[in-house]
Amino acid sequence: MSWAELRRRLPSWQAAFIAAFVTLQVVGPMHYYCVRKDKHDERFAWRMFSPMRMLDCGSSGRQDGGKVEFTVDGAPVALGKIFHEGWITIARRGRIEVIEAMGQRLCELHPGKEVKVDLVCVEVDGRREQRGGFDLCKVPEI
Amino acid sequence: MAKKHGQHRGQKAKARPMPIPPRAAAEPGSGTGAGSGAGAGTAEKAAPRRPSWWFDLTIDRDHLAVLRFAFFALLAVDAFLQLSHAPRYGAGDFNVPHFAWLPLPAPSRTAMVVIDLTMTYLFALAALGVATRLVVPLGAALFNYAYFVSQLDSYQHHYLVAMLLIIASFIPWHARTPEVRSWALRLFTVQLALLYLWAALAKLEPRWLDGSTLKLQLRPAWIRDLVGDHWALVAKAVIVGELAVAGLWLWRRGWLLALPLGVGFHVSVELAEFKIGQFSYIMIAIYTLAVPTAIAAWPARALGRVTARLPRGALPVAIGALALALAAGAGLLVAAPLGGGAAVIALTAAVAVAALALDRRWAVGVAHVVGCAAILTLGHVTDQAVDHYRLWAGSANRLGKPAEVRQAAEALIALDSVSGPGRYYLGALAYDAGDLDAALSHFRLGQRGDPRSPRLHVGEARVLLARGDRAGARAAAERALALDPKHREARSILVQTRGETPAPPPGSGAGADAESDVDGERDRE
Repeated sequence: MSWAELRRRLPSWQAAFIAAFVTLQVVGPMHYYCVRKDKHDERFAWRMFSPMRMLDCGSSGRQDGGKVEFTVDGAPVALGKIFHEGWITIARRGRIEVIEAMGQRLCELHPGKEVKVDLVCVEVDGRREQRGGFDLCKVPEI
Repeated sequence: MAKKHGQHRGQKAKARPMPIPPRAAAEPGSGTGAGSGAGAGTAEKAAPRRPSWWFDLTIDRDHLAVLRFAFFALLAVDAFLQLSHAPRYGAGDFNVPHFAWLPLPAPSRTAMVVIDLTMTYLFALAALGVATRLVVPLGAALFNYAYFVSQLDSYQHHYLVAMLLIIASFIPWHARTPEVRSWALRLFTVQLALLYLWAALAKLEPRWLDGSTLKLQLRPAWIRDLVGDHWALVAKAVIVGELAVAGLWLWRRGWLLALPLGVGFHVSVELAEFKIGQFSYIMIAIYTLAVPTAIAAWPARALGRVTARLPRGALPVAIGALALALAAGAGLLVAAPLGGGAAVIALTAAVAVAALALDRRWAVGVAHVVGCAAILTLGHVTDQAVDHYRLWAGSANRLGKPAEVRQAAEALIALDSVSGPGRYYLGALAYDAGDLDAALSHFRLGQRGDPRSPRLHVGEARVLLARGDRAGARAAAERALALDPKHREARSILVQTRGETPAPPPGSGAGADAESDVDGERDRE
């Protein structure tokens, strides 16, 4: 097969681009439903105004609401003195990837100490979900 | 798809911007006119090729011009409105990117300011239709960096814009033919359809279908009254509406039906006061694609009549105009409240020179001035500059960076000599340094600019208490409590003025207390 014939048979770069783009926009949201372990993380899934958006992991400030509390050797951490409040807001929406990264940052700042997170999230229907409670410096994934 | 495309390979190979040949096929049944009329005799000789759904979408130039102006003008404003959020990037030396495997340089406040301002400029040029082959891909690259570099921006609408800008880089915005054929425009509409489709599918769960989620999200009383007890019905109607619009965007004739449905939906979302930035406006701007041709033609042709009267200069005229424009642009950026400094002046000038190389019109110089003037104007008509420095000062204060607090506070004072936040932070720094005279002066000056701020009165009370002026401290604390009866620090000072507890000494770090930390950001997702 000549180069010219091969080029004729292969899809054009525009067709390849369209195929890649549409595949991305199908696989991205499918990833949320089929693979993603953190259902609180709705990025790239086009889940506009979904029930998960109403998740409360401390954002409501209610006593019976959720919470994200870090401790270092048992002492509570004032997150606002270490992390920009933008990150604290995202953590209070229950995004595990960010909470884990915050844990790793605390491990870096406090080498040799035990860093724990106590994460409680309340869903829109009142269901409560609890995570953490172990040393993130030894087991970095919650 | 590949087979269909292969059928017209010979025609597509030459073709960007793909102007429409006389006999080019429109989408079957589209009625856009590109495939009708002239050239029928030629078509009888050659075997008619089957139009490709992906590659043969045509649109008149007027529609494209209106979409270009509406979409990019809004993006210019949206980019500028990100300036207040720039201080969060790099704060505390912490960042989580959307994809850890993407080799993106770490973000910083300064870099984000330069990027936001450059994007404002680039999108202004794109809106004006100047060197779109350059400015749209550049804007797309910057926007995608700004979005993907950090999960701090997790707005779904910014992800949508990031995707649309990638596609828009391939739309022939610069085409001069009356009708334009574009595979990228088809992909643009497919992206919209996929957005609505997934948004509808995500709602197929009991918590949405029973209306409880919608009931929690809709806040305005008048909307709640309007819905009454029909939350489940409205929730299901939203799904049906989204599915309908998804389907209609895939069918050229359906765009006209999508127009009232989609615009009505996005206007409702805006009226419902969801905190979704410019999303509704950007979506409504996109719906200009669907307006009837006669309506789209009116603004485009009015603009065309104006530009037709303008003199056409030769290249030396264009170069001279640009030289003048570069000087004017630099002046405008220097005068802007948050102009980005030398970096933005240099970047915008470089873009303008490259734009002239592509688009040898003196209009490039005019567009450069308009782009820089947009930055100056937006800086004055919005609170972005003040919010940027105020939020930076607040964030730096919380993170224990006094040098940055001072820098941000001094920038606030440069904008407004009696800036409440600026004077508050400078007063707090002076108090912590033990300079009570300077602290008192800052707090009192701040009260002139921001008389409704209790923290400035609390600051004054604290200074007076440290000086032993209990009566003065009491009066200042009472003024603070008149503004905010629950202010605990003011109450505490009031107790201390009675001599029951000692006042904290200056330098104890109590200058900017936690309760007075009101310079935080709102939720941004």
